[in-house]
Amino acid sequence: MNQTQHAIPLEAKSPFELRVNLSAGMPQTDMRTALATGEMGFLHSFTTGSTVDGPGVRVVGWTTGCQFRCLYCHNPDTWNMSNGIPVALARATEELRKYRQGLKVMSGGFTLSGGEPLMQDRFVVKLLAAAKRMGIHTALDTNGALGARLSDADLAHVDLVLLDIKSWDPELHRRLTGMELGAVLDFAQRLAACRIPIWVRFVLVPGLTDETENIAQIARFSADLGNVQRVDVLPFHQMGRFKWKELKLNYSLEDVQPPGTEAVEHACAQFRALGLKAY
Amino acid sequence: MSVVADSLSAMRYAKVRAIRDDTGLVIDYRTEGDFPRFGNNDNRVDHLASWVVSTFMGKLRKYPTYRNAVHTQSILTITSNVVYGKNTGNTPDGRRRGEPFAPGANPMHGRDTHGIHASAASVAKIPYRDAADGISLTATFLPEGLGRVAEDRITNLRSMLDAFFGVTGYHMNVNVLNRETLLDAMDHPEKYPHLTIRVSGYAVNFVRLTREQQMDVINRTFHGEQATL
Repeated sequence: MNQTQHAIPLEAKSPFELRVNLSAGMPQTDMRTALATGEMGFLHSFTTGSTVDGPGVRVVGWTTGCQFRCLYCHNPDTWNMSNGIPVALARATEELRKYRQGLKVMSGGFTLSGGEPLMQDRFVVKLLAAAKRMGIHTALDTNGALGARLSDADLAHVDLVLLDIKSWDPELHRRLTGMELGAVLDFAQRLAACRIPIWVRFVLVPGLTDETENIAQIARFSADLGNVQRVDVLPFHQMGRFKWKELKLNYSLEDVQPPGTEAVEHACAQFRALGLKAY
Repeated sequence: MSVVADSLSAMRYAKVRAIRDDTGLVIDYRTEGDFPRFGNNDNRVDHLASWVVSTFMGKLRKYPTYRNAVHTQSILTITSNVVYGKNTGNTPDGRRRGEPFAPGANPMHGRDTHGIHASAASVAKIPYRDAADGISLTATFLPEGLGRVAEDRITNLRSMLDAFFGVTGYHMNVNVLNRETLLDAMDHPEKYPHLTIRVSGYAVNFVRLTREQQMDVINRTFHGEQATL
């Protein structure tokens, strides 16, 4: 694969910008080779100084490509892999290396998020392994559905999994995401068996995921796993609305208001009642 | 300083054409293509910033001083960056005539797009030996940008300061506040008589700033603005 041909600099863009078609000109065969070897990945953007994507102060990379179609997705421009910039593994590693010392001082690390990182599982494993070799703590923020793509050896490069559990009810899960719930729960159980810590992330969407019973079941499942260190209850927000509009996608949550502090607190309390740390 | 660094970067990495008026005076620039901007931990432009500081200091040192005083310069502006900008024409980095400079050693507003760690790393590269009077980074955070839980916020901010000074960072002014608070204070100063913010090493009373200076503070990069992402 000719890497220089697709060399778009990894710079000066933010995750909050809409990005489209950045690797659209790349031949399908090159894209397939990249995915198969993991020597190149597709990134929407990256940031530093993040305090909300795992422990400490972290560098976060957002990959493109996702098989879920969550109704409340705030970054629908990350669904399509070709919206990202093609980035060589070596280039991404070199960029991360600049932050190694600071990340150590800040008890932080590197988080790969998306999109769904496991759509590019070879790239993700290689990049996380490179981070580990530099002594950087690694976290994988995933919907979990493609967890089976990771071998136990692959999982050795992952210090923490931020696992999204979107809903407990399989029917609601299908309606919310377009995909099945089962594989997500299987991955959670496998992580528990491998003793890899999980932070559960649950997006609280008024009228969709906020039913007491729905939350109670996720809390029960999380508590029983035994490896859930923390639960982040993420209040739905409307900051992604403009992207749906720009991409001419049909956004069904146009009029949904973010949940109030009381609703968030109520959800947290349900997790705490089972002995989990929840924020 | 960031205006000079970004302008040199535009000239080196993009195509800059000078536009002249009838008398031959350069009044504007047409810049085509992209170029790295100071504040993203990118050596291609960060080294230009350091080069400007060291080169300028080298020239100053050639002049004898009164009673052999030590030459110094400072990369800090307090609030003068607004006035400097007001009296400076269009620049090749795309800044328009009259627009404020960034305060102190800060990257230009909104051009540091990779978070505080990258932004602070760029500033920390400026050689202190050539700016011994001070290199000032003013960093503004939203409370939620420092963490989801109160104790995390304290730990994380402390870590960020440790990391900055652990390399060659010299001076950071930290503000933790909401943009809404500042906007409300502009309209209702009577409600915020003691709202104090840090600008280039000085604590100033926000409601006593001019409206232009207030807008300048509000337009600065707020780290963690969309931290929920």
